[in-house]
Amino acid sequence: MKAGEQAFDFEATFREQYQRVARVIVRVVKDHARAEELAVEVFLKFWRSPGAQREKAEGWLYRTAVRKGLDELRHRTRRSKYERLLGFGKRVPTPEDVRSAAEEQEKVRSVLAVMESRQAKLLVLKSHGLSYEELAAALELNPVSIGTMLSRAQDAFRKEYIKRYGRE
Amino acid sequence: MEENNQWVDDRLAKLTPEEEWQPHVTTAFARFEDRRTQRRFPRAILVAIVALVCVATFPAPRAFAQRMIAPCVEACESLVMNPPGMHYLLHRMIWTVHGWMGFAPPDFALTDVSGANFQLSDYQGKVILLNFWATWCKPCEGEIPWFVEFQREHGNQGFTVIGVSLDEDGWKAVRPVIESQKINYRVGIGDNALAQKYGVDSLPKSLLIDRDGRILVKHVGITSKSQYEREIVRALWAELSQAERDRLRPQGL
Repeated sequence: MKAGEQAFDFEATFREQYQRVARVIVRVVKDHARAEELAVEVFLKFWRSPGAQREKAEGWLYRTAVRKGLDELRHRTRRSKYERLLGFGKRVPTPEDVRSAAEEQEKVRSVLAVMESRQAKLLVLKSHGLSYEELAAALELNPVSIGTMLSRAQDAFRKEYIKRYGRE
Repeated sequence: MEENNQWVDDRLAKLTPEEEWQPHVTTAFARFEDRRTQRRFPRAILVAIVALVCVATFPAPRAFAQRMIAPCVEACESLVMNPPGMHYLLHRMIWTVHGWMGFAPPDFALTDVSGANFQLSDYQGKVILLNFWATWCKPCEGEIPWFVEFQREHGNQGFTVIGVSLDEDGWKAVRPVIESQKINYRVGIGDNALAQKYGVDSLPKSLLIDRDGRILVKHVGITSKSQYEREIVRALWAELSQAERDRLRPQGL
């Protein structure tokens, strides 16, 4: 590290941001243990990309976290689809499965899994409570167009949701 | 519109984790440290292994590697101004890898001018200069006196020249040349099949084969005498007498 350049306190950042990162991920993946695991992976990636360890670290972490979460969600959706197609684990759904599939949360997740990735990211981070500026910083978008993009994403979500589960 | 947005927000708000769920930071940090310090198999080594397997397995990359290795050796040598001993070591290291990849000269059996049969494998353990030539090939003729000289100088140090003439007229054409040039090494008459085996498409072509039966160098077209000399000496270095090594060692080393 060069003299004059302030040492980046990785551990402090970790302690400060870990819970936020994990909470962003748990929104998307439901499973708490898995979310914690993924959050650790986000930090591993953070540790390996020195370019990210600057003042914009927070935005980077949000971006990576939401991407990790959505990737996991998509991966899971795809896997269960192929498993069904190939007839692996052909089992009668338990009442628990039926109940959880009917849950509003799972419906929302399945819609997010098929949406365009950028729109899904926007929605997840918005629901996490980020302001427009923070959203723009986290997703590296132009702050001016955030409003438009967000409303488009919301429309897309609504459309997909109604297509799948009907109007409620 | 506002209403729609609110509806979407309501749906998404259902994803909010329960307040009481507090991921444990210290455990997570310990897990992070654990993962971070785990030894990962270095990716570069993995890539190198895969590349080597590819090169050794598939003919096209292998041919490419064969073409590339000789200039690489030359480049290394011109960069590293080492005593010839080091040269030899470096050379051996690179050509050992070359040998592992299976670039061994195919064996053959020919008859020499006196009617005796001989094989390439008879010369196992010697440094062999295998020269493909023909009487109608002028540059080949120019090289023959050098080979005669090499044979005379290094013949007793575990070195030998083998000439393979590709003349269609056979001994009728070759015998007079052997006599007039006073060729002191074995010459046989090869055919098209042999030429193909060695990939001879133009003459002269010479291969230097080391003691372990691996092709060290290939020369197509006329090459300078000093180049040959250098390569032969390098291949023979371990067999040379100390006086000879001192004589050949570059000045100032």
